[in-house]
Amino acid sequence: MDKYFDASWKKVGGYTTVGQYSVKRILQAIPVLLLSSFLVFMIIHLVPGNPARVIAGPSAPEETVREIEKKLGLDQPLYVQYLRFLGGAVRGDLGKSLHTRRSVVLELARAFPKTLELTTTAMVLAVLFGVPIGVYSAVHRASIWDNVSMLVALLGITMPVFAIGLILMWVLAYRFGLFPISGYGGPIWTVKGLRHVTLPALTLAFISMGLLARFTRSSMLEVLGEEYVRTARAKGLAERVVVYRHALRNALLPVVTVLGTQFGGLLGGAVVTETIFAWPGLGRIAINGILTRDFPIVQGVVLLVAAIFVVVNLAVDLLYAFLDPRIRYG
Amino acid sequence: MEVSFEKVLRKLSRNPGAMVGLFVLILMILVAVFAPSVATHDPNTVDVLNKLARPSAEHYFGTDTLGRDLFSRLVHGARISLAVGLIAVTIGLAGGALLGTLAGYYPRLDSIIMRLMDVQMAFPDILLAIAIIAALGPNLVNAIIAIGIQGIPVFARITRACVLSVREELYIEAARAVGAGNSRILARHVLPNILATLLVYCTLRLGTTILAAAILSFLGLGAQPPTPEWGAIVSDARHVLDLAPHAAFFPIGAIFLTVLSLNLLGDGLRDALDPRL
Repeated sequence: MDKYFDASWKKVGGYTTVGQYSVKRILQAIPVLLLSSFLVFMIIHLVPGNPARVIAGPSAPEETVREIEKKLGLDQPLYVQYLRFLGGAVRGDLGKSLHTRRSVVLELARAFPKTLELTTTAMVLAVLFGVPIGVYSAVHRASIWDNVSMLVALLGITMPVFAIGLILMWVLAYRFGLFPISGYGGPIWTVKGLRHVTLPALTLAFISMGLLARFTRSSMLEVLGEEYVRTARAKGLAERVVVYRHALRNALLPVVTVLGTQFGGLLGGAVVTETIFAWPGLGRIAINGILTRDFPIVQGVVLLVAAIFVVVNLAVDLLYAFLDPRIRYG
Repeated sequence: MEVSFEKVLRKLSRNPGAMVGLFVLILMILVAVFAPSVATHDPNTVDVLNKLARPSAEHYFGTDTLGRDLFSRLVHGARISLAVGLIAVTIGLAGGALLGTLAGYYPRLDSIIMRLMDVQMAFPDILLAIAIIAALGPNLVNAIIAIGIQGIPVFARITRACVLSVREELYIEAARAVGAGNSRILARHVLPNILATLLVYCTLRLGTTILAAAILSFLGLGAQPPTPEWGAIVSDARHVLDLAPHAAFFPIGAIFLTVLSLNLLGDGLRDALDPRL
């Protein structure tokens, strides 16, 4: 790489270093963050009619409405409001929840780890089950296992998240009493916590699992048909070695790619899963916020999620650039 | 590229999944249109003495938490789902077509518009819907708007691709300066292409839309009681899952069947319209 490195920002010989690509991507992410913050800010202003009136209720006196306007700074010109919003956000102040009167940032800080636990557990489960199933299905193609598992995977993709959640809840919690019905049981390193997180995490993971299984299977099938696999077999290598050392490694690379795009879907699914299982995470406070017209909370959640999203996508892109040099070229 | 109607239909008929999908879809449309006749009871009549009854000859699917006939509610729900789906897809189509055409004709707008579309496509759908509904308020109309907006980026992409290819053909035409071709002949080649892609995507999008509406109503952000939208019916039944699982699983079945059919039909159409196969 060194002979292509140039101190200037221009690409030399068509190549950029990881560092240059990183900075370029980071710079690109900033306007996206700003745009997201502006759109989040606009939420309260897209409300038809007067937002302060919506918060106060139709029967409240004019005075209350004006008080709310002043408290939320809605009487100031738009750009002043936006700058105050941005300034507050950067300093870590997103206002107070209209419902609980606690700081928004505090509520977010309480809810965020719970959502994180749920999503990471779900992702781990999805990979742990999805990938091996896909590999096994590819190796034992057209077997009963293959047909059944691919059918179940298809089911996972076409069913809505809440359907899967309710089915799991009914079968495993109500019918067989294996898991608690809902709620948070504590951090996942405790037994109680693990029991409570299983059903929600399984629900969330199901769709991803299905997608990963199908994708791993097709990727693996493609690789198994390649020249070098035939060469390895011709060399007389044991089938096991051919599959698990040579083919698997190459098949897994595109799977990692797909994993990154799953993140957005997991976030969306988390909202529904948290509602079904009364999981005290970001999704639940967002929904409650909407139903109680608690704008600061909703704005806080959407802003936080947008920021996380941008950061995660950025990290994933940079990781790919590091792993696959072709991406940085041109 | 010639696209003949009969050839497409023949290819489609050889695809069992797509045929099943088409059949279920037609059935659903009929049920939706003739809902008042198909339903056995009034979907909103409350009969608390009879609540959570098992399926019987009188109540095909049993009753819900307020004693309302579940079958009739599902039948009227079909009407709602179909209407919601069609309106939302139209919103996406109209908005996308507008943006796509602008992007195709004006290169300066092209990069801005397409970047915006990319950002929106990368963002999770549900969160976008949440943000929009947070602003406009939780009801079915706003849910339709939110879902419709979700569909704009892909329609924009499709339209833009078509506009760009039409422009290219026009320049070649002009360079040749031959009278044999005019824009009407171009439309005859390009338009079938556009329509084919749009048809496939509209079908698939309809499935996604109905699913999204169900999810939003389930969360309480879409259809409000007593509207018998399928997702809302599931939400009602959620709390009595142990007592009356049928109240939740029948609407879930309806949603699943409809979305699956639309997916199968859409995939089948895509394969049938593919000139390479």
